[in-house]
This record gives sequence, C-alpha cells and structure tokens, in this order.
Amino acid sequence: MTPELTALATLVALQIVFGLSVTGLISLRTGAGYILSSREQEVDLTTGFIGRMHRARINNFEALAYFTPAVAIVTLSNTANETTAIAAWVFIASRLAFIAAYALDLAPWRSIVWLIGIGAVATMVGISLL
Amino acid sequence: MTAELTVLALAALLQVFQYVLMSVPANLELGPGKTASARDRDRLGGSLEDQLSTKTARLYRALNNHFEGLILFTIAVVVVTLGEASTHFTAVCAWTYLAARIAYVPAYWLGLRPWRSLIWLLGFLATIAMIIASLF
Repeated sequence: MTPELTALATLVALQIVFGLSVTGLISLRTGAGYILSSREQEVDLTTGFIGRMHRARINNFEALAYFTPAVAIVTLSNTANETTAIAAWVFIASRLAFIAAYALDLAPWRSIVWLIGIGAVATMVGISLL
Repeated sequence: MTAELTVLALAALLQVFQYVLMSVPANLELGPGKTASARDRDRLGGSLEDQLSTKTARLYRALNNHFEGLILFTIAVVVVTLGEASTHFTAVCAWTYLAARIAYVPAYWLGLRPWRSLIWLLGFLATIAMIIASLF
C-alpha cells in the first residue's frame, strides 16, 4: 500500500466512524424512530452542535469526492513521490482539524483549515500534471 | 499519464477553480463574518445559499453539480485505466466530459435553457460510454 492509498483508506474509515457517530447524535434530537423512518418529515438539522456536525459530515463527503481522484491520478500515473505522500497526509490532518474546528465553532480557523486541505489536493494533482 | 488520467487531473482542478469562482462573489456579498462562521441558521437568519444573489447561487449549484459528475467520472477513469480498456474512443469521451463540464458553468450562470441540461447530458453520456466501453 502506498502512503496515498493508506491515506485514502484512512479517510474512508474516518467517514464511516464519524458519519455513524453523527447519525447517533441526530437520533438524540429526533429519536431513533426518525432515523429508521423514510424521513418524510422535515427535521431541523440547521442549529447547534448537531447541525454543525451534520454540515461537517456533508463537507467530508465532498472531500472524498475530490481526494479520491487525486489519489487515483498520482497512483495510476506513477507520479507519486515524497511530496504527494506528505500532501495526502496533510489532507487527512486537515480533515480531522476541520471537524474539530466545526465542533468548537472556531471562525475563521475552520475556513483556513479547509483551504489547507484543498491546497494539498491541488498540489497532488499539479505534481501529476507536471 | 494516459489521456483519461490527464483529463481527470484537469477536472479536479476545474473543481478547485469553481470553488474560487463561487466563493469570491459569495464572500463579497455575505462577508467573511458569515461565511467563516459555523453557519448556524438561527444566527445567520436563514440558509446561507438563500442569501446569495441569483447569479452567485447559480455558481454554487454548478459547483455542487460537479461533485456528482466527478464521482462518476473518477469511477470511469479508474475502470478504463485499471481494466486496460483505454482506446482512442475512451480518450475522446474523457475530453468531451471535460469540455461539457467547462461549458456547463457559463450555461448555468447565464441561465441558458435547455442548453445547461443538454450540456450536462453530454458529459453524463460521455462518462457512461467510458464505463460501458470498459466492459467489452
């Protein structure tokens, strides 16, 4: 396993554990009945700590959508090097920090940490093109 | 680098570009006080995207749409590359996808109907054609 693939596996594992934890949190507000239902009722997930974790989870799905191609590109085109490995793990660190910054309501750090993450992904993609 | 991987790299950079294209006007309109906050709706006075101008909201939706396109296109490039099914046809499909996704942004911004949907369909069909080609 290359460092980039290990980082991708870590992000998938993080999203499974974190994602299910958020579902658990939401059930505290809505009751387990809502989680198991077809969710036709509108439930307010826009406020408070639960709302922030809900948005962090959506953001992490988006992160998977652009980190996966970055890892696939550097791996399949054999352009992986030390810099892409470091960038991949910087990205994983930025995702953990992003969730923490959201949880603690840290402005503008949440945005800055997100920006570091997208910068790391752009670095990986840029290296593969050069 | 195969043509398909090059296009995937460019498509990922298009996503970064679309972030910039959307977030610059969004920050000018809403101010970093709102955008950098934790976006709690009770404190913002409603949804953040509802507070954007019509054109910036279109850029926001165009960005979100490319997430969906990118997920499928990543699968298409991975199966074509690892399945060693890369041909001139799949390379043309990949470039068609990228051209469609680039054209999609101004089509959304200008509100071109039904062109936005037709451009989206072109990118979608190009992706599906790559996946089907990898099966034969």
